Amino acid sequence: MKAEAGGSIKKRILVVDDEPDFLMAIKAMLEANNFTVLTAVDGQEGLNLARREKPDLIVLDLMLPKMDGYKVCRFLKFDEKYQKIPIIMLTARGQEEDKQLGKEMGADFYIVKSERPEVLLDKIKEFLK
Amino acid sequence: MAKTKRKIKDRATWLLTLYEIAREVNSNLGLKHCLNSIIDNTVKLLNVERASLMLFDKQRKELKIESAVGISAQIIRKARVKVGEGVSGWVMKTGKALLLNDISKDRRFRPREKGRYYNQSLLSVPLKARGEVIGVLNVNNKRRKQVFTRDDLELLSALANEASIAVYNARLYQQLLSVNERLKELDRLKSDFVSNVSHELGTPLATCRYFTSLMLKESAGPVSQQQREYLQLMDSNIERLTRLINNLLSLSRIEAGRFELRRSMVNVANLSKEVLRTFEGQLSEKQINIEDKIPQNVPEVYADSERIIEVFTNLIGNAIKFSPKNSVISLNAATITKELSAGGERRYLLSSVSDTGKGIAASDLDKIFNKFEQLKTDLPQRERGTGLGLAICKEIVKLHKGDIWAESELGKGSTFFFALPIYNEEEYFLERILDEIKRSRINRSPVSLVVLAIKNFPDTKAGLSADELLSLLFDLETIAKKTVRRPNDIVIRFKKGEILAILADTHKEGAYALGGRVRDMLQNYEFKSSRGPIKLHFEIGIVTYPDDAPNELELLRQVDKILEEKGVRR
Repeated sequence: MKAEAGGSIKKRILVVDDEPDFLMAIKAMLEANNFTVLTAVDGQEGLNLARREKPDLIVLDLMLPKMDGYKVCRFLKFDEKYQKIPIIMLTARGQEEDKQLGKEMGADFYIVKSERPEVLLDKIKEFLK
Repeated sequence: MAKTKRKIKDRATWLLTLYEIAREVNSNLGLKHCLNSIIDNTVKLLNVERASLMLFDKQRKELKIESAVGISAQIIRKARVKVGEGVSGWVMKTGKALLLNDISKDRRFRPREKGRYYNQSLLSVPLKARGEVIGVLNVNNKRRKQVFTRDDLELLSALANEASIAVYNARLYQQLLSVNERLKELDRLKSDFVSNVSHELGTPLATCRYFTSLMLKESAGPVSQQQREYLQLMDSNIERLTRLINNLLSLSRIEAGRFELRRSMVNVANLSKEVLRTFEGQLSEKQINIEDKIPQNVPEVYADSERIIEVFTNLIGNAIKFSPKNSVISLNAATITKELSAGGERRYLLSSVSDTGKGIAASDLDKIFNKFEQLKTDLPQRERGTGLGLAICKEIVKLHKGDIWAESELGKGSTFFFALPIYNEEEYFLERILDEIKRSRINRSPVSLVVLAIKNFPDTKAGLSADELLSLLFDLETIAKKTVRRPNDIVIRFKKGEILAILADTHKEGAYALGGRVRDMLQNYEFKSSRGPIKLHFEIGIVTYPDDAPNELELLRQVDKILEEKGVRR
C-alpha cells in the first residue's frame, strides 16, 4: 500500500511454483497486499517470464519441472541485466543442504514453505522497501 | 620303540597342522582360501597324491568339488555326484566315514573308469555342520602304495571337522552380510519413505495455511465471529501437523545417519534471541516474561546454528507450554569444566532454559527424552507436542558430542540443560578436518591441507619480545586469511608459528597454487620489530585427501610428518 501512496506503480512479483493451488495461495496473499503478481508453473517458463518482464522480485520454488530453481537462479544471477532482482528461494523443509546450494547459486534469501505466510510477506516487503 | 616314537612325532605334526588350520578358519573367512589350505594340509599330512573336498549344493542336490589336489581341472569343473552315487555319494547319504583298503573288492563301489584309482585304498569322511552333512572330504593314492590306517581316518575326520567349521562360518558370514545389506536397504527405504511422505505433505499443508491466514485477515471478505474461531482452530491444527511433519523428518534423517551437521563458530546468545523473537506472540499472549541472562560474550561453540536453534525452539516452546500465565522463563549460559573419562578435562558451554511450571517427577526425568514419550498433561490435544521434540534435541546434542538433561522439582518448575563442547584451537582444527572429510566423502571432492611453517622459527622468536611475537603471528594469520578468501576454507595458526589452511574441494595442484600465493604474501610482509625490520621465509607442505591419505588420522599424521621434516615440531 505504501508503494501506491508514494505515487509509484505497484511492485511486480514473479512467483514460480508447480503446485497450482499453492501458487494461487501466494498470489492471493500478495495481491491482498497490493502487489502485482506474475506466475509460472515451471522453471523454463519462470526464466522466460523473468527475462521478459523484469519483475521487482522473484519467489522461486526449488523443485520445478523442466528446469529446477537453482538453474533459474543461476541464469538470472549470472546475468548483469537481471542479477539485481532479489530472489527468494522457497522449498520444503528438511533440505538444509539445499539452502547452502541456494546461497551459492546466488539466492538472496531462503524460506521454508511450512513457515507462517507472514514470514514470506515480511521478507518480500523488506526487500522491496 | 622307533615306531612309537615316529607315531608320537606324527601326532605332534598333526596337531600342529590342525592348530594352523584352526587358526586359518578363525582368521580368514574367505571360504575358497580356507578350503585350499585344508586340502594342502591334507595332502601333506596323509601323504597322499589325491585329495578332494566336495560341498553339497542344496538347490541342485549334488556334490561339487570345491578344492582338490591331483585331479585334473576338467574333472574338478565337471564332476557332479548325486546323493548315494559312488563313494562320495554314499558318505553324503549315510553321513558315515569310509575306509576302504581295496575298492575293487567292495561290491558297493565299482570304479567307473579304469586307472582312475591308482591304488585301491581310499578314505572318505563327511563334513558335518549342526548335524547335517554338508560335504565330503576324500583322499586316495597314498604314496608308496600304502594302505590307509585307523589313524589316517582319525586325522582326516579332524580335518573334515575344521573344514566344516570353515564352511559353516563362511556361509554364516555371507548370510550376515546379505542380511545386513538388506537391513541397510530397508532402513534407507524407511527413511526415504518418511522423508518423501513428509515432503509431499509439505506443500498441500502450506497451501491450507496460506488460505486460512488470508481468510483470517479478511482478504476474502468479512468473517463472522464464529467463522474466525473455526479458522483459528484450523490454523492451530495446521501448525501442529506442520510441526509433526518437520519433527518426523528431522528424526528420520538423524536415525538414517544422514544428518550432516553444518558447523561453524556460533554464539548461543544470538541464537537464543533469534528464537525468542519467533515466540513473541505466544509470550505476550500468556503474559510470560523472559529473563534472558545469557551474556553476549559467551564463548563461541563450533556447532550447527540451525540445529541449535531447533534445540532452543523445542526447549523454549516446551517451557512456554507448561508455564502458568504471568510467570517467568529464564535463559542462561555459562562455561563449565568436565573431567573426561579418557583423562584430562574439557570446557563446555552449558545453556539452560528454566520455567516455573508444574515440574516433572524424578522418575520421569530420563524418559522424557525418548521418542513419543509424553507425560500426562491436562493440556488440550491441540496444544500438546508431537512427542518428538526432546528426542530430537537429544540426538542433535549427541551429534555435537554434548549432553542434555533436565532437573526439576514438582510444583516449582523445571530446568533443561544442554552442554556443548568448547574446543581449543587444535581440537577445533581436528573437528574441522573431520567435517571437511565427511563432506568430501559425500561430494566425492578432495580436501587439501596446506602447511606453512616459518623457517628457523626459534631464532626469529628469540629476537622478539612476547608482544612483538604475538603481533607478528597475528599479522601472519590475517594475511593468510585474507589470501585464502573462500568462505569454506579455514586458516588456523598454531602456537609454534605454523599456519595450516584447510582448503575444501581443492586438488593438490590447486592447493599448491593457493598455498604458494599465501606463502608469497607472507614472505613479502615485513615486520617492524624494535631491532629493525624482519623478513620471514616459509616452508610449504601439502597433503590431500583422498590422494595422500585415506582417512583423517592418516592425514593428520602426514601433517605432523611435514612439520617434523621442516623442523617445526620435534
